[in-house]
Amino acid sequence: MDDFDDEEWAEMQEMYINHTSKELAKIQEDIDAVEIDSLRTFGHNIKGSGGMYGFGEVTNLGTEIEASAKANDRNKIKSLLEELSSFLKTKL
Amino acid sequence: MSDEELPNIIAVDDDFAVRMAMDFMFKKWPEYNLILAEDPNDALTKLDERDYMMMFSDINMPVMSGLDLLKIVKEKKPDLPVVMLTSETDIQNSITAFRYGAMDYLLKPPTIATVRGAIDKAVEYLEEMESQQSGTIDMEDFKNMVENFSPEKMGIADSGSKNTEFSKLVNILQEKLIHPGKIGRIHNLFLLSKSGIVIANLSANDVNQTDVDILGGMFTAVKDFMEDAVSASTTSSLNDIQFGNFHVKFASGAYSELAVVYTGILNQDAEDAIMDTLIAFELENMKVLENWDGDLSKMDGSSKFLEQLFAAIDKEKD
Repeated sequence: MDDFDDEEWAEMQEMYINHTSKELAKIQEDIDAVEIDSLRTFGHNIKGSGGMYGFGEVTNLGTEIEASAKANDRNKIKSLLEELSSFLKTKL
Repeated sequence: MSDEELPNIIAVDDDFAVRMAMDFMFKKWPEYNLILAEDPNDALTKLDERDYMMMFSDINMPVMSGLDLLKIVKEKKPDLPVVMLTSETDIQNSITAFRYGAMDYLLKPPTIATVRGAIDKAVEYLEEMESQQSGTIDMEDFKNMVENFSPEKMGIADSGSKNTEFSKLVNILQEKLIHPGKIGRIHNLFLLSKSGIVIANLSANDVNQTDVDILGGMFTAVKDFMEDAVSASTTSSLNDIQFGNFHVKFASGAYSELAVVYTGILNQDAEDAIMDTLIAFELENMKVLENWDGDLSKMDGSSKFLEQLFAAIDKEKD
């Protein structure tokens, strides 16, 4: 099975990091106004997609964000989003 | 060949990152034209615009779930192979997808290998469907065959070649019980009373209730014969009979039978799970089974045993 070569992989990762960073910035802009269900969806989505792009850390954070949204724990979500933001910056 | 002439494949996911990854994958396969949809409504619109070879769909989407989309699509295009994308924790969703006629489910994240494998399987499925178009089954013929079922007449008693009656039966059962595009091993599960009443059924290909009842009688006849006359499998604690390229494995309890219709190989772990399921079912329903009057409502929760078994053995574990 032909896998992605290094160049393709790098292009995919770059696009993913850019896209996720933009999504995250939109959420963090006014986080208190974001519905808890949207935060859960965000966590759920990055949980699923992080692994596709080779970022297990994103998947783990997504899992935690989704669980915290289910528990309605906004403070925990805020801190997890900060962690995600720091991680994404190291990859930009 | 222009894009318009290539086989179209639609992929539905509300997450841009997943759509983007699919797009990258399909760049490697210029023989297919990928159409992306960002939600089920978008998919339904796009499905009306052209013909598709197959569909990939996420399950968890806002407004309309992938399972609702699957149901609508299967009503409109019953032969369209559909592969659902699901997370490991969504076993219940996987079972519902199986019931609604999905060809398979892939665990997220999908990889080049799993997506390509699903496409190749869909191609095989469509080729097989095309070759089967010529012969449709006459239900009256099937009923007569089951009512007059005799393993001796079918040639099942002989270890050598089976006769034409047997081949006919195999073809009918194959069409009723086997989903040609399915990737996992399990195609149908039946919980039966000793007298052949179907207590619960989990089916891959939308077997209707009449067919289920006839098949229940069929299984019991085959099972009784096997117990009386042959030891069909020397290596297994369960009875196993091969029909063409699929098998039916039977587990016997004190009051009921569990018939597992599968392709490929079931290992010892799977056999243990089958037996454990039957034991758990009988333990929970012991009081009803001891004096059962045939009232199915008294065993309403029986499907859950089949669902758990399906989740445990459909795909071979590493």
